[in-house]
Amino acid sequence: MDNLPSRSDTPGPESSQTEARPKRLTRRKLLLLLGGAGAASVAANFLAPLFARGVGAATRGDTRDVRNARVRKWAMVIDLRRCDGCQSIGQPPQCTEACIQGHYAPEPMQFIEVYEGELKGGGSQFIPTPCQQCQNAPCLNVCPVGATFATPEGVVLIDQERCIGCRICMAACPYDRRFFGWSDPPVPPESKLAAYDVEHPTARKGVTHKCDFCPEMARVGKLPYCAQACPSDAIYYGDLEEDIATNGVELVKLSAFLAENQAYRQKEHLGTKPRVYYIPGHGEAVGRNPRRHGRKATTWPWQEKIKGAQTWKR
Amino acid sequence: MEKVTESRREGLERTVLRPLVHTGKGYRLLVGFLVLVVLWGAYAYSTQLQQGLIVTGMRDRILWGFYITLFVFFIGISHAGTLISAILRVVKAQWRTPVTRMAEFITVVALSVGGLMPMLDLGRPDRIPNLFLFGRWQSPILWDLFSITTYLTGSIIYLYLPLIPDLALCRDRLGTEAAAWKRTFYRAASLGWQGTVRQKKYLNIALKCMMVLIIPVAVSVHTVVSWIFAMTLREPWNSTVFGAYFVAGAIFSGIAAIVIVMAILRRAFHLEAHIGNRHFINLGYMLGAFALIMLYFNATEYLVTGYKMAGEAPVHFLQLFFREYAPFFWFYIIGGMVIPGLIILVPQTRTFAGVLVASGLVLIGMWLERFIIVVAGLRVPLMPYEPSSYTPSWVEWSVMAGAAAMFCLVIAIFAKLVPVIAIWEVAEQYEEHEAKETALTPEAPEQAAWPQWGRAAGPAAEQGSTSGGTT
Amino acid sequence: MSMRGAKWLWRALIPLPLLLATATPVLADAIPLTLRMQAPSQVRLGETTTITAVLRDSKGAPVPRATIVLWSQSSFLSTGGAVEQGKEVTDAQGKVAFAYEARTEGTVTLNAFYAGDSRFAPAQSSADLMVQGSEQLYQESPGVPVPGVRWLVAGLLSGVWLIYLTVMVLLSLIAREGSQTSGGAGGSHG
Repeated sequence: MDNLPSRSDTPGPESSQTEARPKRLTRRKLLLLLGGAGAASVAANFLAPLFARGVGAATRGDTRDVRNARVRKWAMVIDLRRCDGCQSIGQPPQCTEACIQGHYAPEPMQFIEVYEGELKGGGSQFIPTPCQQCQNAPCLNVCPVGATFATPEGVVLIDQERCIGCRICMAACPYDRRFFGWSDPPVPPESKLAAYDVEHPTARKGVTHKCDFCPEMARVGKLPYCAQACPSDAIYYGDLEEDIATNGVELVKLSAFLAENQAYRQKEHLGTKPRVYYIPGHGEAVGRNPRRHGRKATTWPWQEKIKGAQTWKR
Repeated sequence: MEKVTESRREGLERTVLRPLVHTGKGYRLLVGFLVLVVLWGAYAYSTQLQQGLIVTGMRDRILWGFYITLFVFFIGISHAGTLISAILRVVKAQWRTPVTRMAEFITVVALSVGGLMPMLDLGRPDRIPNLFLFGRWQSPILWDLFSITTYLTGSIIYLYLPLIPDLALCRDRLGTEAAAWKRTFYRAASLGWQGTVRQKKYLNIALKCMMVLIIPVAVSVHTVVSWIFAMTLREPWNSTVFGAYFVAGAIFSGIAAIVIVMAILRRAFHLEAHIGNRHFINLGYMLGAFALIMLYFNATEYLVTGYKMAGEAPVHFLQLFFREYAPFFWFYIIGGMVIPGLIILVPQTRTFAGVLVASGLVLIGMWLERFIIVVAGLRVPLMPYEPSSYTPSWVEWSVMAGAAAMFCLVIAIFAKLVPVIAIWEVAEQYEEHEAKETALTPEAPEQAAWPQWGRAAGPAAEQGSTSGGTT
Repeated sequence: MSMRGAKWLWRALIPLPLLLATATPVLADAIPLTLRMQAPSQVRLGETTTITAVLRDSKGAPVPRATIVLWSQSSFLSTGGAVEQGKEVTDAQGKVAFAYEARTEGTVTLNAFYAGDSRFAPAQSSADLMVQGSEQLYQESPGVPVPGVRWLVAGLLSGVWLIYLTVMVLLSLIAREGSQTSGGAGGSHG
């Protein structure tokens, strides 16, 4: 008994304890070891997000159009002097209609939406608003799983395979540019035939959607649907890297175009640093009177509804 | 003289242990009813899984509703335990002892139910593993995940630690009256507690660590919950005060929750001898103090924003003060803070009944406050469009009922499994009280079965240092 | 009759030369000009260089207050056309200077063009530049990087969980103590 280390205040019957103790300790040691290993692995998994590389910034979807090592930096300029909400042609805004067609956007999703804003001095202006592709995007900052991410070209995309549908991105976006799939959306069945492509997704239930700046169009040398469809060529698509932009008819030096026309961005004070610039105006270049309010309501051409699909109001 | 102590403690043990072995018809009916409501809530949720979130009243513009309101509300209530158990333990407020166990119950259950709510709100709940596989630490939702799991773990530990001596008591006292599985549970969960010096020492260290640690953890939890809103650029949410405001609101609603749960359990288990009106009045004082704190926060928020009326503030003020949400807002301010504050301040109304009514009003008011923050905050238009409206659907009402029922159900089950009062702590206070009254010799404490908690020097030193005992 | 008609015809024809002289001023009076451009042959991508041009008439006299446009031919997203790179007005010496930032690598042909007016004929000139380099010019800078935030968060979280782990260890010690003493000294206390 004197040789054994005393481990408790109340020593029990020595013989049985002497033999029993080593066995208990071994089992306990094993349990502690397993417990420690389990705790360590849980801890590692818990802390892993803190040190995971490359999340939050440009990661997936290597969509770059590489010429040498330079990457395009897409931007848009919308000349509001030429936008009259398609009043003069008596149609719903053609940019929105073309986008809906090109992306099979279901009702009520308008990835580019033409708002009618009151001008401070009286009258109104039409403001076609696509996703502003912010360089400090609040939607990207808050996404818990990185489903909203930025490509090297600065285009903010949504990975519908990763999105968990928490909608914090929609709460964070200050431009009202995100749309949720509240149910199976009413889209034509053929839109579901294509394999999933993060650059050209279709609408689905339970995830978020928005304008994606049509990067797949730019890569094959085409303008986005909205820019192509505008009857007064008000939408310019450009590259900040090469400092050039076009509306399909004319080419401009982007920086000069912005500077000489007092271009601004929406909600500049929020620090989102959008890539969509606006040239102030109210459609005067196409002869619009700023006091002439109203535009035709957007229409969605899909009559087919898949089983269980419903539409909703925003 | 020793008889007095024995019978008081015996009385305590007998009363508190009784519900663990006797189950009345009323209890069975209640549990049956609660289970039905939970099942109904589950059915409502299943329709949401099938059809999508369109079965709720949420849409693109008001994209959060009841689920997130309940999330914030339940996480808020969970701060009950922190306050009563930890803060009051740290400042050695003696009157808290009968209340601590229930407060810790509420914390664990509220955290569990609250943590479940955002999962019900997801469009793709099958992708929850993405949070672990691809989680971004820059996201407020991940901060919630980190802090809520940390707080839940800490609360379970903190509930369990002081429970060990009571579980040992159950193991020793309850013979065949308790079901066999219960006896096995007590034997296993009490970890062989014998009240030895070493065990007391270990428990003491553990409890001291946890009681200090759980306070900053709890504060961080509701702060990061508030940052789900404050880290966005929405005008009504773009405020730096959200963290402190939410923590104060959480403690406020937590106190109200304890009062109500305690009142119900006291009545159901006939614990009047051990939980007197004094406890309710003390909780009432704290309720009143927090009502004033909340009024101060609200006044600051609205005065500072309203003086300037910048941006969309006029829209928000109109909808809150005069138009769509005015009834909810004014009920929250007047019914949820002013009236409870007055009830506590006015001596004639500062009674058990008064505190109970005040707590009920506070809980309703705080639920409305969460609702207003979420829904009215989202309603302010970001671009030139007409504001939408939000009408919760039957699915959301059912899920809310199910969540509330789940909360009550789990507490009811706990109450049948473990003593609702921390027997050993209260018993030791009775003994102190008796010892002071009758000037017992040091012999008696050593004879007493229960460890003299936190006493190194011996009974003589303790009598001078401790304050007055319980009723 | 024909005699009288011929007299009227002759009279109608008198102003004709005068008419012809004033009707076609350009043809009659347009002064040809020369526009000479000076540009470096090689320039680095992203650098701003000065392109100068001088507008003179055939006698070498400078032409002031003339608007010169600097442009290049470009193609972007299937749209080709002229891109205006600058527009300046000549000074008293007929000189004009453009600040040109090379944003496209490879060979760039810069053209200077004067549109002409009532006195002067249009004039133009070209220069080829070799633009070298391939570094990214446009960099986003969305914020201010604050170092060490991750480590702080990781540290705090780890600290809390380590304390939990310590408590679990203490609990296991309590359990061990319990199973040892229950085998030995007296059983439950009254």
